Amino acid sequence: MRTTFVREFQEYFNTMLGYVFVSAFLFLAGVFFAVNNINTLSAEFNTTLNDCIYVFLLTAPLLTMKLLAEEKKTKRDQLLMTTRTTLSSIIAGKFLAALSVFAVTLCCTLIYPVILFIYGSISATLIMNGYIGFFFLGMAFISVGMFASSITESQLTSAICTYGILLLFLCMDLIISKIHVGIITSFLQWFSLFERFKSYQYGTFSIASVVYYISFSFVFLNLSIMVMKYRRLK
Amino acid sequence: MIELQNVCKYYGNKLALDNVSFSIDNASIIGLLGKNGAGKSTLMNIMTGYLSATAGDVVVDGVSISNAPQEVKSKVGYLPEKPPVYDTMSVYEFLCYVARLKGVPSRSVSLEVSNIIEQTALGDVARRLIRNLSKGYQQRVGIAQAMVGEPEILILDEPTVGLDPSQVVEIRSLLTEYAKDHVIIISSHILTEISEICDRILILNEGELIKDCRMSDLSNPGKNHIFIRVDAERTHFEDIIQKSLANCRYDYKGAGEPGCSDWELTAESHEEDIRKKIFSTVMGNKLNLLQMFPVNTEIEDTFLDLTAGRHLN
Repeated sequence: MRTTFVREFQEYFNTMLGYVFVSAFLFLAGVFFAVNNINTLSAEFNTTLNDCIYVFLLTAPLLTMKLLAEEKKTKRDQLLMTTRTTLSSIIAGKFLAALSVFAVTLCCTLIYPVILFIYGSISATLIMNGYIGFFFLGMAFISVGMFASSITESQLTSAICTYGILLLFLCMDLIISKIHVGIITSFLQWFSLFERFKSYQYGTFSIASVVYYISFSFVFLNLSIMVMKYRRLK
Repeated sequence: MIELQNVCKYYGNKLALDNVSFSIDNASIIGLLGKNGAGKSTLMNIMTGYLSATAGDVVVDGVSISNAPQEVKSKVGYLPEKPPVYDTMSVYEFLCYVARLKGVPSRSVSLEVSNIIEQTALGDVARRLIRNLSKGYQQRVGIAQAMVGEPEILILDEPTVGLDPSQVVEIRSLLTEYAKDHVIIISSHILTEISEICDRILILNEGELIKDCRMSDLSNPGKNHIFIRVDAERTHFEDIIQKSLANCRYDYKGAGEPGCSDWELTAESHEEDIRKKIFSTVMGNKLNLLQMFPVNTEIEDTFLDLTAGRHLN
């Protein structure tokens, strides 16, 4: 797993992909920071963090579309699948590499709360919880992208599938706000990726949500493994 | 070392491999022949664990690939049809990466990769990015990655494609050396290559193994199919052939030099050695034999006959 992780992490910065992702994310996050905090002289950073979710929703496929689709297209999966390294450790290595690039980029945005801390008054706990929630939500997004990359050989199709699945989860929130049937609303709220982030946004750390995000990622990573295994049987 | 037991593979409803069975017990080079779509790549992919068989099993050193895939994979090196290389890495970085994937201990990676770079003559390009290398060099990187970890069994799909003639000779000699204590299975469309380096051939046709024999059983090189150039006109020497070499088929090949004629003579019987007879006939008629060498088309003939379904036995 370590071998795959190191190679994949380096690959992001051996090509333009890593730089494009980091630049796009930081640029858009900067725009939201300027609009929400600088322009309005507000120290409410979690609103900016909430907007950054949509930025990551937009940019996450850049991180994940290549992971497995490109391996299959170039037949390099013949190397990966014929060595003693197991498929699960390859998938885990690739997933952790994408997650690390995301985490490093997220860390770069810490400069914004530091600025707010210097010039205003903010709650460190609130910010920390917001970042923890964002990290786990991002992890779930990446696992969806990994799955989308496993079902196709085309990077474009992989990116579109990732958008499709994530938008489906986003739509779930819209449905929740429109229908008011007790059990259905509760059920959808329980499954909603974005609804769970709200508690972090308000400064509450929820262990249940962490478990949910980890389980969600685990399911999608396992689905990716199953898809890759199914290809061997076809 | 490796045994295939009734391996079948279906792609949907299409039968790609039909009950293929064979075993390889000792170090040797095995040639895998077949027309396009015969199932060669599918068979290689199954032997390396990339694809799973619909039925049957692959057993390496008594271990079944379906029971212990990682153990079997650690004993097999594979060069697919398209070399699986990362073009954003240098040759050295890529081979180190493959070594780690194959579980070579960290302290041995550098030494092992350096040895393979030397064996495959990649030293000049070791620090260059793979995307900047020619197709021939990329193919050599593909061969090198298959050899990393010194696997017991090396499976190579068209290993000399894209190499120039001198590189082909180098790679053949490298493979011959490696085969002294390892098994190498080579798929190739170049039949002369197979006949030159392989000890045994397997011919696949429409997913079925239709021939499994030693090269020595297949051909009788240099004895029954001979090219000659004599200093005699065509009509004169044709009379001589008809009188003295009546049991040979002959084919006039033109006049390679002024006043000479070129011929290909083939014995009626597969086992017959016609060299002495040709020599004594030419000498007996007070002619000069300017050239004489074997024409080895046995493997092509057998391949074409078998894959055309003319004599499936």
